[in-house]
Amino acid sequence: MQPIIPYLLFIVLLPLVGIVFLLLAKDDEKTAGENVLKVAALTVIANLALIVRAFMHISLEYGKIQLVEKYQWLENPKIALVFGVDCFALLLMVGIHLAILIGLWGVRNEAEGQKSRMIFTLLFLSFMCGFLTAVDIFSFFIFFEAMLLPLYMMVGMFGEVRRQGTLFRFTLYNLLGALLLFVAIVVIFNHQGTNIFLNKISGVKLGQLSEFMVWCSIFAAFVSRIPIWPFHYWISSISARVKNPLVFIIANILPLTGVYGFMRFWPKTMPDVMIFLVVILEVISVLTMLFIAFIAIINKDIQYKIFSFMTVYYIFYLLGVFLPTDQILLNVGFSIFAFLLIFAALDVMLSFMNRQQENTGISTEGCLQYMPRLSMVFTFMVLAGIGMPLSSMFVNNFVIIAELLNYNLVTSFVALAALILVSTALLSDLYRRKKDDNLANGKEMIKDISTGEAAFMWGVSVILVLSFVNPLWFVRG
Amino acid sequence: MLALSLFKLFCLGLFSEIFQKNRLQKSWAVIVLIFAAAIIVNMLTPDVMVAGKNFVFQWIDTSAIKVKLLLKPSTEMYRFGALLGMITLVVMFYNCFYDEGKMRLRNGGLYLLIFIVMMFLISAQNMMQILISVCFVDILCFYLLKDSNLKRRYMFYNMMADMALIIMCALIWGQIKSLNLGDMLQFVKKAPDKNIILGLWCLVVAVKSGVVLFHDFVLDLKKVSLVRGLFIFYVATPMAGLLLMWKMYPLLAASAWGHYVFYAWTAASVVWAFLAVFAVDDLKAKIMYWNMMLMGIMMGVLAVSKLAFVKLVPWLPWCGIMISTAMILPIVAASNEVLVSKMGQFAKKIKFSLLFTLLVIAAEVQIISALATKDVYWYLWIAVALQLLSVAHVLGQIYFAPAVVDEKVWALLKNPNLFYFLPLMAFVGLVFSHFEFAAGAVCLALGVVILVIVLRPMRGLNCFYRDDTLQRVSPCSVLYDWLLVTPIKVVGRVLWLMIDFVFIERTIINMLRKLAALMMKIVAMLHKDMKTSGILFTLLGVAVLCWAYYFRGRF
Repeated sequence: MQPIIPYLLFIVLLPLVGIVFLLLAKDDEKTAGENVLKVAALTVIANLALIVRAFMHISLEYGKIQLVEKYQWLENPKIALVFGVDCFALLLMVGIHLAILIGLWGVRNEAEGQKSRMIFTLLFLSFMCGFLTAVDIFSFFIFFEAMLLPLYMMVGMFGEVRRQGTLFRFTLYNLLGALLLFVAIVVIFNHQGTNIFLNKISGVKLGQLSEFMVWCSIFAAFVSRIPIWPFHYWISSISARVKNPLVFIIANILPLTGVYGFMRFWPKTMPDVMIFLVVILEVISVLTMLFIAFIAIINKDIQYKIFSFMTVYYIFYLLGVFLPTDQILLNVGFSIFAFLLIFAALDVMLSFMNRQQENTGISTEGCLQYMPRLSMVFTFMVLAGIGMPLSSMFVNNFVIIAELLNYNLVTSFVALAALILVSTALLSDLYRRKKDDNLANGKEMIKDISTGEAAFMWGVSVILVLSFVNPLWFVRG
Repeated sequence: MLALSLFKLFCLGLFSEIFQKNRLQKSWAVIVLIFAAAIIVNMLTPDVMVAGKNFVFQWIDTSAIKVKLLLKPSTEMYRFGALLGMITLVVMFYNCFYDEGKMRLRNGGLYLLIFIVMMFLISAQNMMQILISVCFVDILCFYLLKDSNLKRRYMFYNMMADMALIIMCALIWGQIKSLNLGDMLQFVKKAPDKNIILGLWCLVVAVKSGVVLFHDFVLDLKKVSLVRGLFIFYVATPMAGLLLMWKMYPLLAASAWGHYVFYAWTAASVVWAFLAVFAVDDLKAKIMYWNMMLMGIMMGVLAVSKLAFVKLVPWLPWCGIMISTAMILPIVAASNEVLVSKMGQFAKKIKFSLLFTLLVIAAEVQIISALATKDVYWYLWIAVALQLLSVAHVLGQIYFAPAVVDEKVWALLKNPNLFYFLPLMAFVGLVFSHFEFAAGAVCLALGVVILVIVLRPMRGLNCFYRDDTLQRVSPCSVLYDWLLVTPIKVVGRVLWLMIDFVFIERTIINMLRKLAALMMKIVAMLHKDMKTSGILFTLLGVAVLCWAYYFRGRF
């Protein structure tokens, strides 16, 4: 049944309304960013509630686009923006909102530049929702590119990175991807004479060379977003240097757009001219996974390890997307949902630890010994992250692994080796932090997370456990 | 009923985990123990465990995968449930009064939760239930271990095993789309990847059981209190490994080599542990080696015959627990001195402990005499003889070797209090009342053991205790370091430097920068007010025209 209110439009617009409130909110030394943070958090929660409500109106199938809304944009050329969702897109939206909420919680004590940070966060959220709800090629492209703006601003303003080099790479790779996708979309639009739906692209018949060029462009555009070698360098530069948890989370949500792009664009029955691209992608993907996992093992920087963990998993999901079956795509979605929450929580806890280390001068080794509450939640998240049965990653990864093994044994074993290596890297860092034979002085100065903070983190853990029991528990409820 | 009892235990375990009390911990732990004992004793009856109703929970029901969780009462469930339940209660009892640390309530809760998960493993009829149970045991044990180095090794070994198990199950499920154990076993017989599946399975069982090559994490258990160590040994991870082997037993028949792998592993474990007992000085490490030996023996029994295993398993773990308890008596008596080289002549002061140790040995011999079936008869006797020989050798060193004991320790040396002897008394009493007395075997075994204790024929091997390297270094860790960890680190570093830094940063990014600079330069030249720029612009236009003409109609 079609709902009365246009949920999807509201979901895209609500963060923008939040921005208006943010602009009006008082942000001075007295409020120390608290005011704007509350407005932003409230906006995210309200949007989350809207998304959960939208879930009640759809059937839980992958690929069945529902709640379709059409808004006329241009008369000449005739372009309308069309929104629609399926269970998968909504699930990703919930995951992204929760991850950003965790990120907001992570920056709650940072007063400087809080207002701009919140504005760009909500802007990113709005564009991300637009991207996930886009059904036609133009709205898809617009949101695909638009979300780079807030991210660019955030990395530049709050990333605390060696700005010039990192931003150069960021611009280089993403601009290249944007241009290629733009060219592909213009060619398709020109050929069809109208704006078409994403799921119809594979049916468009172009000349052999054009088809080849268009698919290559689309391929390169999405690959540039995913940290696949050699494109991984821009995001690894950001990830390894960004200290702000919110910026880190948002920057690392971006590769999801590449995976999602492939999911929506890439046809299950491949045009002949494209088959070699898939083979190339598969080979490069598994090699990248292995390459990054190897580096994660020797790199002592936990930010890099988390980046590696994310990259390996994104590519793992991408391999799942490329399998010649639609059956497991919902499983990919369930797994990504938990994955987003886990990496966000890990990074936020890590930034808390870093702050404590900066304030007290304790070393990384054994730092968790002083923070028993944090230690428990951190351990839980690491265990969930490496695939223990504590979140929806467990069962759904099992399904993806099974299909991968079914498809190609050698590729799958290489990919699984990378998963094991990256899990080992995460675990080894956990033990470095829990080591009890290298305790430093100044114990009394070190703060553990407060009861309220622990409750928040355990809340996230409960959501993860619920996602293990039933990923769509809130829908059935 | 069974599900209800487990649910009650779950609530009790959860209560112990969540409501941790700093005050009156011991009292709270005792209260939890009383409730747990009431529930477990009530549950461990044939009416509930054999003739009770099935409990089925439809967990996942999607187009991709369907999973049912099942609790099915059966004779095996009764046997294994009784074993694990009773060990859990005994361990909880010791946890209340003897375990060091302030986490009595929490540990009690964890023991209960692990027991519940193990019951799910015993009852599992599908791969997902097995997978989840095995992984949950690891997670709960991880929280049970307090030492960070121990946790590290434990998790690395078991994470690898869990991953291997997941891959194995995924490999099967991917092809037959059924999680049912029966379907799986049918499929594996004809599966094209049969050898990979079996290889993974053997690896998982070996790692989990802590047999040789994977015994380091088991050996580390000497660092936690004996109560916790024994619980993990006989209720949690290594037992989960054996149960995994038991649940998927028909896999062995699917290959020509499966049996031989387990025979080899068993033999290697028994021999390795036998030799290690002579080499290491630390009595706690020796105890762990004896348990490892017993685990190897049980694996061997299962590899030979499933029936013999089911018959022996309710008793054999008790032998391990009781021998460990008996061997811990000298440590307790000697104010926690753990080095055998610093003991000797204890027979003068703690005869009672020696007497009970001998009784426990007699009880083990009695059990083997009564339960060894034909197919495992000689194997079992040889393995147990090796075990008892090494026990006797160590007892000889402790009780009759020339004393090199610290004066203070010697002055304080006395038998531990009665609580330590109670379970030993109960065990010996139960064994000799339950089985018909095998006088010949028991007397012969005791005679040989006493002779070895008194004469100490292998005392020359004590020289190993003085070798620092032998006492300190674990050969398996060194092996892994050389064969696995170091190559991975070297490859990682090379990749990082060569590809990430030299190739991308110094080559590609630099090239792109230079390319951008060159383009800017060309554009700047074109825009200069010069005649050549006009010509260049015109040539560029002509080139574009030519290109468009050449490719006409192809788009």
